[in-house]
Order: sequence, then structure tokens, then C-alpha cells
Amino acid sequence: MFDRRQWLGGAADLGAVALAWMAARDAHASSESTTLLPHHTPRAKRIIQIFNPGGISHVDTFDYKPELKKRAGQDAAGFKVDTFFGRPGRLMPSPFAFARHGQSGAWVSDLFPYLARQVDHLTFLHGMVSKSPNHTPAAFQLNTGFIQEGFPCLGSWLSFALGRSSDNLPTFAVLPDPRGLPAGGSVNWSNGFLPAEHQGVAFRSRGILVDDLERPADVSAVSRGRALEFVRSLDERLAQTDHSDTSIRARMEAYILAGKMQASIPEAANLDAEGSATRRMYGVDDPLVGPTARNFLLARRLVERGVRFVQVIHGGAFGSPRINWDGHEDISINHREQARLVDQPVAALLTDLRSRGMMDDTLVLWTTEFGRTPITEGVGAKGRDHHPLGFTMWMAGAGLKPGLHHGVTDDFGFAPVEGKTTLYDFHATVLHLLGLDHQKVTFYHNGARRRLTDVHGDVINEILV
Amino acid sequence: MVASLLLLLVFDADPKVPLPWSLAPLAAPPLPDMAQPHPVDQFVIRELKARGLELSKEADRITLLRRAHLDLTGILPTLPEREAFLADTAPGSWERLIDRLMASPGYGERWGRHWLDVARFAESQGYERDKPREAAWPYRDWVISAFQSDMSYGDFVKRQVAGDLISPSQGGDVAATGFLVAGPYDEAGNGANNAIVRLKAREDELEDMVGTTAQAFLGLTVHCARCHDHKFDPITLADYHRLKAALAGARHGVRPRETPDLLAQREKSAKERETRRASLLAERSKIENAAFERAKIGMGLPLPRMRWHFARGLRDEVTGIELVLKAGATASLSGLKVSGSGALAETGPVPLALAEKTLEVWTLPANLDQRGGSVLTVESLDGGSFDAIVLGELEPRAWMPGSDGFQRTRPQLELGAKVESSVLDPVHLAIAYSADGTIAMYRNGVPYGKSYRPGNNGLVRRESGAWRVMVGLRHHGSTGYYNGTVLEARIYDRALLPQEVNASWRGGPDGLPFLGQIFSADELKRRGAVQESLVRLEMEKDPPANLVYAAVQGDPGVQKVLHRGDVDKPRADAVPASLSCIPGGFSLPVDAPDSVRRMALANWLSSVDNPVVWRVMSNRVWQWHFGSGLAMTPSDVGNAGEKPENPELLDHLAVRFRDGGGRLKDLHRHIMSSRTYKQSSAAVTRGLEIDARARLLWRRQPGRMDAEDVRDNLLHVAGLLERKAGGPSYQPFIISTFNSTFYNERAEDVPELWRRSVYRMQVRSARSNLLDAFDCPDPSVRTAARAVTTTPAQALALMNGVLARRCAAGLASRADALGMGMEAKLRHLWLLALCREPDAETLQKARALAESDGLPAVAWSVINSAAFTRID
Repeated sequence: MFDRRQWLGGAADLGAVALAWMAARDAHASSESTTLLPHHTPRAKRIIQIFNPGGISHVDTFDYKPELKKRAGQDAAGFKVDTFFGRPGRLMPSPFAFARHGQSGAWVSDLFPYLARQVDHLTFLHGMVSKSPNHTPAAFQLNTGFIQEGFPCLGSWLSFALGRSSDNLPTFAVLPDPRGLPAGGSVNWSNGFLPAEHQGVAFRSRGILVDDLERPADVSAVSRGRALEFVRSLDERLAQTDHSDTSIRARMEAYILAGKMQASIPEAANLDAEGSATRRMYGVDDPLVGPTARNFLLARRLVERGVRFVQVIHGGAFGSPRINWDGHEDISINHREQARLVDQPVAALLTDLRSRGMMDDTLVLWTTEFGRTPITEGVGAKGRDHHPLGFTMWMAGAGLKPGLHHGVTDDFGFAPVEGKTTLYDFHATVLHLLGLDHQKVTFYHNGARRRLTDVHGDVINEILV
Repeated sequence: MVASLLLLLVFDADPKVPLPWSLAPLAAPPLPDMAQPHPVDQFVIRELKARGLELSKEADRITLLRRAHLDLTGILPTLPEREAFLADTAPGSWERLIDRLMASPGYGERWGRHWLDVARFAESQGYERDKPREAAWPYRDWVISAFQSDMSYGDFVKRQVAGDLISPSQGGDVAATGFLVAGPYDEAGNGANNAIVRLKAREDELEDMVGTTAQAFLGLTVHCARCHDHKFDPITLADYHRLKAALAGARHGVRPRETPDLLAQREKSAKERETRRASLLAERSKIENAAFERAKIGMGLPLPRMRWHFARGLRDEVTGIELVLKAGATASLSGLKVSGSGALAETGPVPLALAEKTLEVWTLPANLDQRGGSVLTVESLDGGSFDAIVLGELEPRAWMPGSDGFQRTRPQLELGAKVESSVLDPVHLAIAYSADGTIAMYRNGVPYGKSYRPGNNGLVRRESGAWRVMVGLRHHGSTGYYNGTVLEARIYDRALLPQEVNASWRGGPDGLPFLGQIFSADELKRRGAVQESLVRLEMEKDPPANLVYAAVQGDPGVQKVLHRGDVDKPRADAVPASLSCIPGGFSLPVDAPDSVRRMALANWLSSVDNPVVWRVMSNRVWQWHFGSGLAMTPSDVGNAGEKPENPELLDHLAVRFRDGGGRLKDLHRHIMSSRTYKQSSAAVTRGLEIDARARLLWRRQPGRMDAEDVRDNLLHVAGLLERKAGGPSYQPFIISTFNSTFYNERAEDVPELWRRSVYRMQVRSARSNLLDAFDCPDPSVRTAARAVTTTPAQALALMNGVLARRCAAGLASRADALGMGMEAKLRHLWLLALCREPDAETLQKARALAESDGLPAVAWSVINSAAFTRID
């Protein structure tokens, strides 16, 4: 039977209830996904995925193409570019200065002075390809594996496959850009056809952190405690009439968990508890970088406390003014603005995780839905169009070879000439690092055992330790 | 019943793939010869006996009352309803209860909601912009009323595929095809300049239509064969593309919804409008002609609604509205000069309504290499929506009609315009936006690019006070600054005809005299009033009630079998045809029109010779009564789905359903009058040991209210539920737009939001904390059976959510008003929320809590207890 103190949500006292809960969650995880999980020893326990909507230009960031300078203003060098807006322009060199960095000598543009010092810890994927030149389908593919709406995202799959990761925090948290939600809002962290508990929990950057989290101000803790105790006694009596019904017991546990979340989420989100050196490193108090930096520091605090998957979104919806990487008009202005906000906090996150010894079992993913064309969007223009045929993402942390560059694009950055990597491969690799075989994490829906990787995907063994 | 011959038209499936059980001919199975009066019980008991089990005893009357109410209407019984049922002890009281509930509006709302899950009904476009579909609700109302009126299932099926063809003048039947297009619509993809992107978007749309149609009615996962032959079922790649061809004429869109009443009304009001319009136009001509005559202006010159002759200043000569200079813009005798970054001139909010319009300027650009600046813009006050005369944005040295997200823009060079080559003389530019959505651009008096109609978005209607005029900047929020001199800017409140534009160009900037003098103050006022009325009239067209988001007939074209489902790899022609594995099929000429295709499809799907359609719906009905179907995968009755637990029982139901004219209410009565349905949910050790989930039906498996019913009953027990039926959906969010549309959940704290959840606007990206927590599915997902989970999010929503707390307070005050003395109040509270009186121990504890924390704390506890949402 339940101890009253636990019911009231004493965060310190887990005891037998927590054990029962964990046993239940393990049973749950194994019963629904065909095999006992994980499938092999995991290298990573948690993930921070940085999602950069809009499409980051690979040739202006991490994929240096000096040939673009030599051939500036020329035609697309015989490469058939199927641009989204259908106005192919001419080859355009990057307006940013590139230099080699770190022992690995990686080329990085001057957009990322902070990240440039981290290159020896990053594992680059230069041969990424995506299936759609259209933002939303491409973002769906990055997040869910499919270009259509209605499929579960990576965080939901992990929640489903591995069960709850924390007894007082969500398993899958989403930190939207303080400037605004990405296009489609919550569809970006949808559970799709998986049960609703696997949906991402979105944190607000202002006001109430998480919906319905806070006990209303006009209800005292003591009063709430007495009412909860009464609820418990009602449920106890009901449970006695039907011992077979585990849902009543599960419900009582859910109330205990909810009580804990009420205390632990605000605690996790309290950035004031961080030392001034850490806050400075992220740039939390910087008027420009601060709002973005807060999300990255919060991400670290969440994974540190047991959240398995945090998606930090750096970019809002499309349109003017541009608040994401969609640099159609002027790549120089747009990318400079986006990079300045995110460079310092991401570098700080990597440093911070390393100094806490967490990089050994944490994955950090730098992702975007596609790259941008090596040619301008329209002749004489300064912007670049969408380019799914070849672009760069990077991963860092657990189980990866640091400083490695996998995949090479041609001299202009149009398409991979080696190490072509699909998003299926990327997802398969991420699941692999979490100890999961991407072919075995399945959920029956509408006639098919659905997978994150559809019917594709090969683990990128070259980048694994 | 005759088992019809399998008509193998184009059967080319792998012969090794067996026919699934569900496609076998459907005939009545013999009744097990037993002493049970009810056929359902006979089939159930036979299976139970075989495993040494038996039916449980009948549940008590209160349990049955609560169960029937929640099952048929989703709403708990009121106190009078409870009293009436307990008082009715004559034989047949149960049947009378069922009939009463099925006749109540709650029935259509609850069972319609079930179907909306299957139909993946949503009221927004999805994808990048997720715009609201304001006119999608008529489909929801159609579904509810079809259930309510017990429409035959054959008609129900047929009308959702071809209602507009069956009875085009029947409003409801046009709305029924909302089924086909309830899925997402990728506006960015469909509007892309890149042809492959457009084709892919359309192909995904068709997969959604084919997949939903096949799953909803046939329980077959045909969409699995888009790229390759089905792995488990006899459905080939070619089958998929043939079925797709049958639907390829149906497109997403908004169309008039014409019930005979509405039609007559529309015709009447259209006539009235036409008469009013004619008289307004006559009045305007009268005023203008008088002025023209006085001023000696040729009649061919159109008269603008706003006009700036910059040599004379910055005031609009007609209304006096001033353009204010910003950051280095200058005005002189040679015109208004803006020179790049920051320089612009803008008005405040313009107190005029504007629908049809023409933008016109004479200007001299400083150079032709500039990109994306605007000579003249009208925009919403936040800059999010605009129309503008823009130079060099999409194509260097070319003019174009600029618009938000290029929604009303086409690159003019592609439409035949020439690049601008010289900056020696001022150039005259005009863009006319017609009421029918046509946009025509002119340069120096002649058409520039060919005119075009950008989908439904050609004309933006701007309310008085909601827009401004600007020179220099494309729109607020952009960095598109124009560099040049503007001599003259005019805005007309109608789309000029080509000859009028030409006349205006010939007249030049000085062709019109100072307009401040041309009209007397009185004329100006009268003309302004006339114009306002004309714009209002324009906006009155097609009021939303007359529109419906439904299938719009298009040209299906010749569809192809796509190798690997790839739009780049068309192979043989795909004739519009039915699935070869189901009898009674059709195959049509490859160029058959949409009407012939969809009609053939509708007839085939709903045919009595089609065995699977009746099985699938009977199984769904069983599932919605019992929590799980006889076959556990109701939208996949193919070889990969679960076989039915009791196939003969299912066939018994399906035959009765088919032969009885497809009446759901008959099926409800039949099922609910069985002992099987009326069993107690009490646990029985032996049953639990042998069949823990009661798949064999040895007891009533306890369930939990659906998400919508949790919310609706919170409101109901609090006495707050608004029973307004039908019409536009309530919108429990604050909508904001930034290219995409965002729906921020708002507290449900006003009565307009307290309607039944089935009337909530089903926006894809607007999920609800309370509803989501209780497993309300993502509307983009075709949901055959909802998950039932238990999570902390549910606890948080019921503990802290605004609605739950408000309803707890409402419940408490109702109980407070009903009872004299605390004990009576508490008894009423229990009766309202749980249909039962509290036992002595509970009463004692409740009394203690009421004393320390008040009755609302008790009410809060009751709605947070498991018993509130549980169904026994």
C-alpha cells in the first residue's frame, strides 16, 4: 500500500513506490516493442539535439569550398540544381573567411569563433542528403524519418523504446527558440501514432514553464495535501474492489510522479543556481545571446537530472524578418545573425558537458533540414536557396570518433562524392549509440510495423569508436 | 444471401499471397443451438464454454445506466434522468433507455466523434503554414447528423466519396466529401515553382486520400502498395495506382455548399447585391461625371481613390491622408526621393476598406541592379500581409507584384515580360487585382507579364483602419528598400481595365488635375460613402456559412503507375479501377472524367456484394461499444492484422447489418440487449487466470472515458456544458500569424468555449493539454483505436488545469445548492459526478475535508479520483 509521505510527493523519498514504478515501466517497454531493450550495450544515455530550422548553408560554415571563389559568377558547373524557388543563379563564394582549427585542422568559417575551438571534439557528416527541398517535409524527415505529417519524432521513439528516464522529470523535453516556435509548432515534437505519453514536453522561455505544472496560488500546500490524501483513500477503496485492475494503481503512481514534477521542474529550470563562471561561459546574461544561451544551459541541467532527450530549437517560423537560417535574400546578413546567437552557447554546452564528465555518455547533435545552394538564388543575388542534395551536420560525444570528417562533397558543395549519408543512416546511428537496433524498434500502425528508419538505414560504422 | 463470384478484372497479385479472411464471401453463420435467446450470447457462450468460462452476472442498474449513457452519448446521466430510470421498473425499461439515448443529440455527437478519428478529420492545412480551414466544420456536422438520423451505411460510404455528384444541390452531401480532403495540404509544396516539388506534394495528398478511403471503409492498408506490391495482402503496386486514378480528380478546396434553402437564399441575396451594386455604380458615375464635366477631363480616365502628386506635396488629394517621410526620404518638385536603406514614406492606418484595387505609379529608379525594393506598398499594420510594386526581387531588372511569402507573386519574366534596360525616362507601372483573384501587371500602358490567378489568394480584403500605404520599403519586417524617385502614386478601389490603364498612362502624371478641387466636399463625402458600400458588398460575397472545405472536382489527367512510387518514374497508364481482390469491381477508360470515376468507386465500396465493408464497420461498432473490436486492428483486416476473436459472431453482425439496410441503431439495439453487453465488470479469479483481458468476454472489461468525454463531463457535472450543436467550431486558442499560423492554447474560461469537445476546432498544431493527456489523437493520424494510457500529465491537467478547477468549483456550488446540510450536499455531489451515493466511511472523510478545506476541495478530489473517469 502507499505511504502517505510518498503520495504527497516528498521528492526525496522514492522507496518502494519508485521501484514498483520502474518495474512497471520496464515491463511496459518490453511488451510493446517486440524485444527486450536495449538490444546491445548503449554508448550514450542521453541526447541533446540542436535543431536549426531554415537550412544552414554548409558551404558557409563547415564545408569549405575554395573553388567557389575561383569560379565565382559562373554557371552551376554542369550540376543540375533543382532549387525550391526555381531561380538558379551563379556560383557564389562564401562571404565568410575560413581558417583551419584544432589539431584536426578542420575548416570553419568565421561565423563560429567559439565552436571553431571545439572542432577536435566534433564528428562531422559532410555527405548528408535529405528527400525534400521544401522546409516542412524536410524538417519532418529530420525529426521523424518521414516527409509526411503524423509520424513520431526521434524523442518520442526513444521514450517509447526505452521507457521513462526519470521519476520526476519528463523523458523528452523541447526548448523552443525564445524568438518563436518553428513552423508547425507542436507537430515538430509530436508522438504521431505512439501513445500520448511519448509526446515532447515543451518548456516556455517566459511565464509558466510547463502547462498545468504549478499548484494554483490560492491553494495552500497543506490544503492540497489533505485533498490528495482523500483522493488516495477513494482510489484505495476502488482498487480493493478490483485487484486485477492495474490501471488504478498506475494512476495513483502517476499522481505521485506529478507531485514530484511540480517540485523538480522548477528546480531544474532555476538557472540562478548556476555559478557566475558557468553563466558567463554560456552568455546567459549577455543581452543579445542571453535568451538563446538560457535554453542551452537549461538543456544541460535537464539531461544532468535524467531527461533522456532534449531538443533545443534554434530558429522560429519562416517569413520576414528572418528568425531562422533561411537566408534567401542575403546569406551574409542572415547567417551572421543566426550564428552569433548560437555559437557561444553551443560551444559552452560542449565544454560544460566535458568538464562534468558527461560527454562520455551524452550525444550532442547539430542538425538542420537541408543545406543551401552553392549558387545564388537568382542571378546577381546574395542569398542561397534550399539544397537537400548535400549538406553538413555534426555529432559529438559518446561512442564517436572525435575530430573525424565523414563524407566529402564535390569541389562546389553540390553533392557527396563519398560518404553519402541519408537521414535514415543518421537515425540508425543515433539509435545504435543508444543501444537500439533501428530495425527492431517498431510499432504497429495502419498495416505496417513502423520504424523511425522506414525500410532503410545503415549505421555509419566509420564514425564509431 | 448470394455469394457473388469474384470478378477478377485485373488480378495480377502474387498468387502466393493469400486472400485475407475478411474478403471471403459473407454469409450468415448458423446459430449455435443453445438455450440462449440472444444470438450474440450464443456465439459468445460457445467460446466461453470451450475454455471453461461463463458470462458474468448482470451489472446493477446504476452501473448499466451510467454505462449506457457514456457509451451512447458520452455524457453522464443527470439527476432527473437517473431518477426516471430507477423509477421505470416495467419490462422493457432498458430498451426504452437505449432508444431515448439514441434519439438524444448526444448520440450523434459521440458516435460522430468516433468516425472523425477514422477519417483523420482536421481543420487546418498542416505543414509549414497550418492555416485554419474555417469552412471544414460542415463535414463534422454532416457526420454527426448522419449518425443521428441513422443514415444507411451504404449511403454514408457513398456520400463521403461522391456526395457532390449524387446530389449537388443537397448541401450536406457536398460537405460529405470533406472526408476525402480532411488530410493535410502542403501549401508551400503545392505552390512551389519547382514542378517536382509540386508533383510530390500532390502525390502525398493522393496517398492520404487513397489510404484513408481504403482503411476507413475496407480496412485494407492499400497505401502500403504505393511503392511496391503489398507484402501481406493481394494488392499490387498497379492496384494502388489504379485506385489512386479513381480518386485523382478530387482536389482540396473550398466550394459553395448549396442546400435548396441556402441555394435559394444565395440566389436571392446575389440578386439583391447585384441590384445594389448597379445602383451604387450608377451613383458613383453620376458624382464623378459631374466632377469630370466641371473639370473638363476626358471620360476615359479612371478616377483614383487615393492620389499623391508628389510635386504638389505628400497629402493624398482625395482624403488628405499624409505620407510621412522617414530616414532620409525627401520630397521636392521633382518627386518623392527614397534612396535605399531606411528611407521610406508611410501613412498611418487608412480609414477605408479595400478589396479590389489597382496600384499605379510613375517612377524613375536610381539604378537597375537594386533588389527587392518597393515603389508602392499596401500592407497590414504588422507588415505580415502586403501587395507591392517591387523591382528585382525574384528576377533582376524585372518588376513584379510583391506579396507576403510570394503567395500572390509570379516572376514576370516567366510570364513574358521584358527586363528593364534604361533609367532615362520615368516608367509607368500598374497592378490590377480583380475580385475573381486575377492579377494583371502593366508597364507603360500595356500588359507586362501575362495576367494570372494565384489559387484562392488573389485578392486580400483589407478592413478599414487595418492597413497603410508605403513608398520605398517592400513591407515592414523586410529590408527591401527602393532607390529612386516617385513622381506619382495612385490607388484605385477597383481593378482597372486594360484600356483604362492605357488611358491613364497616356494622360501621364499630369493627366489628372488636382483632385482636391475636382470634387466638392459634399461630393467627396458621398463618393466615399458609395465606395465604402461597394467594398462592403464585395466582402459580403460567399459568407462562410455557405462554403465548405470539400473535394473540388478537377481534371484527373491520365494517371501512371509510378515505379517505386516515384513521380520521376512513370510507367504504364493507370486505368481508374477498383482493387482486383474484391468482387463487383470496375475498370474505366484511362481518360474518364472525375464524376464517372468517383461514382464508380462509391458504388463499388458500398455494394452489398462487397463483403469487407460490412465486416469492417460491424467490427468498429463492436469496438466502440466494448473498448476493443472482435478483430483488434479495425483498420487492418488484411493478413497482417489480427484475426477476429470470434469470426462467426462478427459475420453474424455483419450480415444483420448489411441485410437490415445498414442501420447502425439496429446494431446498437441488438448488441446492447445481449447479456454479454450487460455483464458486470467485477473480477472473477478464473476468468483472470485464463483470459486476463477478457477478450472472450467473460466480463465487461472496465474502461476509461475518452479524452473528450473527460472534458465534457467535467463541464457537465459543473452545470457548465453548453449544448449548442453544430456550426463553426469553438477555438480554444489565440491565433497569431508569422507566415505560419500559431495557435496558443488559451484558458477555457468563457462559456463560448464550454461546448462539447467534438465542436473544438481540430487544428493539427493546436493540441490541448487536457485532451492530449487523455490520449486524444493527433488529428493528422488516422486513428482506428485510441491508446489508453495513464500518465502524470493527466494528473497535472486534472489537478492544476484551469478548466478542471473551474469545474470542481461549479460542481461544488451545484451540490451546495441542491442539499440542505453538509451530508445532503455531499450525497448530491456524489450523485452528480459518480451516479452513486458515498458509503459511510467515505462520507465521514469527505465531511472532514469539507470542514477543513471547503466543498470545492471535496469536488476537486472526486473529479481527481479514478472512479470519475472509469467506466464499469
